[in-house]
Amino acid sequence: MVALGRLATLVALLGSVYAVVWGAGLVWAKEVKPKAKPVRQKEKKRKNSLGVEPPAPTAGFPVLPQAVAQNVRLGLGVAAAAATVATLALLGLLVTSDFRVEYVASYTSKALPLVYKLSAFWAGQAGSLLLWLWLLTVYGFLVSMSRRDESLAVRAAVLLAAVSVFFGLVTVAVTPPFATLAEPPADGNGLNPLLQNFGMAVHPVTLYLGYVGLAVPFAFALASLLAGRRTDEWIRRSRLWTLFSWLFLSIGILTGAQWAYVELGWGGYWGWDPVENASLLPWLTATAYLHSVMVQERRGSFRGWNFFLASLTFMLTVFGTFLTRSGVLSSVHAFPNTGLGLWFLAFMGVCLAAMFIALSQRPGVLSDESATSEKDIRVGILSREASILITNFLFLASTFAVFWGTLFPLISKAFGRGEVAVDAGFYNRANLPVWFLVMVLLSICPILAWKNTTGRDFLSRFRWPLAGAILAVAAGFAEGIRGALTSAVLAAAGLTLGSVISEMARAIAARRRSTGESLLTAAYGAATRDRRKFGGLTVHLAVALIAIGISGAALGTADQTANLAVGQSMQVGGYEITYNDLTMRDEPNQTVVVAALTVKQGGRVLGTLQPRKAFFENYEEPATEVAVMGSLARDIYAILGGWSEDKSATLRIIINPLMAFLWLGGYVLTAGALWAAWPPARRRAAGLGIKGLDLATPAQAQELMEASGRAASAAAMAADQAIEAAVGQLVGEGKGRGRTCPHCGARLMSPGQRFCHQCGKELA
Amino acid sequence: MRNSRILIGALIIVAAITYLAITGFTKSTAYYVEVDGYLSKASAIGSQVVRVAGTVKPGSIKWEPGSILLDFTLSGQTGELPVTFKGIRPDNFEDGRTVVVEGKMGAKGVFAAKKLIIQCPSKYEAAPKGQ
Repeated sequence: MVALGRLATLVALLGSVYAVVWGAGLVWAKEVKPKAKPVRQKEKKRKNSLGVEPPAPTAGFPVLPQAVAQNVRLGLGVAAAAATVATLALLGLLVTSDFRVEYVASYTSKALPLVYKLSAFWAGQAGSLLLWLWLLTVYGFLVSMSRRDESLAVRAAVLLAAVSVFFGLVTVAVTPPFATLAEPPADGNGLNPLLQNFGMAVHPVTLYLGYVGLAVPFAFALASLLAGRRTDEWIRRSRLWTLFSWLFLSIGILTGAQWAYVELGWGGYWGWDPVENASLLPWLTATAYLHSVMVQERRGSFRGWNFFLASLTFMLTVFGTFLTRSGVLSSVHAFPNTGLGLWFLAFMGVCLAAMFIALSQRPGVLSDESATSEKDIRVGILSREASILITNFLFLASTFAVFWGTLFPLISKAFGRGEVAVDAGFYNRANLPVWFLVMVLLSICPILAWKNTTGRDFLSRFRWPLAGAILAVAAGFAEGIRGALTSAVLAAAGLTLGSVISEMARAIAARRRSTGESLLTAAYGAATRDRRKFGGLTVHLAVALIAIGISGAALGTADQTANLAVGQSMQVGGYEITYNDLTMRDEPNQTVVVAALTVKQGGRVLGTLQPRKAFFENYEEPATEVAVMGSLARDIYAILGGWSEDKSATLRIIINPLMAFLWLGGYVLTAGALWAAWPPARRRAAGLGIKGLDLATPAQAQELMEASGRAASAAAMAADQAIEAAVGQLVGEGKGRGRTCPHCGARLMSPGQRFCHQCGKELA
Repeated sequence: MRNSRILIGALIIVAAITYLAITGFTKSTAYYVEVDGYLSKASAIGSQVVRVAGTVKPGSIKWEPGSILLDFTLSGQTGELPVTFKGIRPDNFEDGRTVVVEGKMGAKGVFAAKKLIIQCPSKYEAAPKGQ
């Protein structure tokens, strides 16, 4: 299996190179408009109610040389398959505990539970780079096989293949995962106890899924630029990739925080460690990007800005990977330095150079869609565009602050001032005001209209958020919260809650007016018709919850350390913790020492806590496992610090207010993002076809695709309507009268609309 | 017309952030030095908060669970620095480990540490058995 793994990694590299070689010419060449007219005859566009031309539909785009496309797909397909084989080989070696392989010996042991043997795949340098390579080649292959807008997709796939070449080189030449040991040990080192936690199975993978996925919008952006396209397909084509990658990155960050909270035993969840910041930086820019592409979709502006954001996000993910691996900055997380730092720096240099060359070779491509009248350019300050723009600036300000703080030790060293370390105070001071403003804006933005909102409209829509804010502050006041800062955060959270509820209610009410459905049906219908809106609103709500969770610390964390004899108690923040007993027991992989504590409040027993320390065979140091008693109001967090022969124990108890909101917000965020990303039933059926036909002319291919798409759409629509009818019958009859797009089901904006704003197709 | 508004908005935000960053800086940064560097500059540093890196001198660890006091000596290449830390002894705090202490000089030449940061030499790998 070792030889297989080595060969497979090499083949993955070669496959990517093959794809790049075949596709390089295509990527560099400008797209040529076809001489013959595309299938659609009438191209007369009428302006819709916004006063702007709706975005052009994805017409049959220029010819893609079939030979190039097929070979790119072949190269990437082979690379993806080979990378999969290599991944399976490494997993196999890990599971069978083949200690001839250095990687297996370093990160697993015979007694290690299976889930950690599997998770060891990403525990070390070499394995995690192989994971990068695998995901990258698979994504590249999927992108190359995309049926929609093949010309752009294949170009983007070639760029992804180019990135894979880098990771393939590193995996083959610098950190081979299948390196063997001259003398295999009898048993491996096992996994560091700090990592034997459920978080190990989830956190790195989701982070990588997010990181790697953010290469896709960059690839599409650069491909579109190089092709000389002045249109916005690249936004639409890469939207789902961006959304899912953002979601995974968010999950990765949140699970990392959760893991730190339960594992590291200092009562906190975020240390502003350089590697933590490295995951936050692309998240901030990706969030900004997700919002500003909405403006590009609607109005064709912010083009250059979005290209910049997509590229910056990708560069930050590579930079993050660099920070983790180069040992440049000391961190809790960093992998040992194996000379990878220079490779990554070189790669980032290449990417930057590519971007600048592309920008210089294609001047004017990224300029905004020209408006036909002065009226179109002017956008009120009370418009969604303006608030998104301001929010973008705020996100970038935060990104810069975090970046600056992270790199400051290096900068100060470079300037001869000695190495200066930056701690949480700086980050909080710089970021919290910015994030507070972001929170206010995220509640205001959904109630603003595109282009302009009249003062009257704004005030009438602002009633609910304002009510929410007042309610939240009042509730806080009732609970004893007096601090200005916490009240401000509560107000912002209340604003968001009010804005989310009012916007959802408005959409549901509008649907009820036009379809006459009952409340539940209308709610489900509205949420399904406009998944982006409802999903996005849910995510905003989640952010408000997370903000509440983060602000909990400002309420006053109680933190006490005491040495107790058996039977003694300590008082922490209004709770009485009694130390009852200390026991020791053997478990398969470890020996644990457990302290039994009882928690009382006002004389009433709330429950018990068992903080412990676990001792492992191969490690001198034990792992401290904290015990947490959580509720919405606060977490009671217990750490067993140590003990003496007389069974007296050193215990640290921390009361963390409102922590649960952080995790709750995380779950809501996941649900909201999934809802927003889930393709509607019609699109799902139409998009399932895989390209496999070799057709004579592009026109025929186009027709065939459209025909099959229409057939699938029709079938799906029929099924969907049947389901809706059934639901309608269950809940109450209703007749549909609102106009919706027959292709994708989006609610149309105006009666005279000719092109659907969501899918771009022509309407009957 | 929109452009100038954007520019003004951007400038305001940049100015605000810069102000925050600068004021935040002075209170939240700490020089990072090695033990020897610290000992030689001790008078210049005075009672500023600094981070000092060194290795734990084998045999110098004194951990009192009763009073929750951790005393040890931090070694550099040539010099040594006695340190006292009020708190729970971390799990991976052992002889010979590279440790960064953050705090300031206290009474009787003993460094009063507020924070202990222990650096694992090879992060996710265990020490080979027997060492």
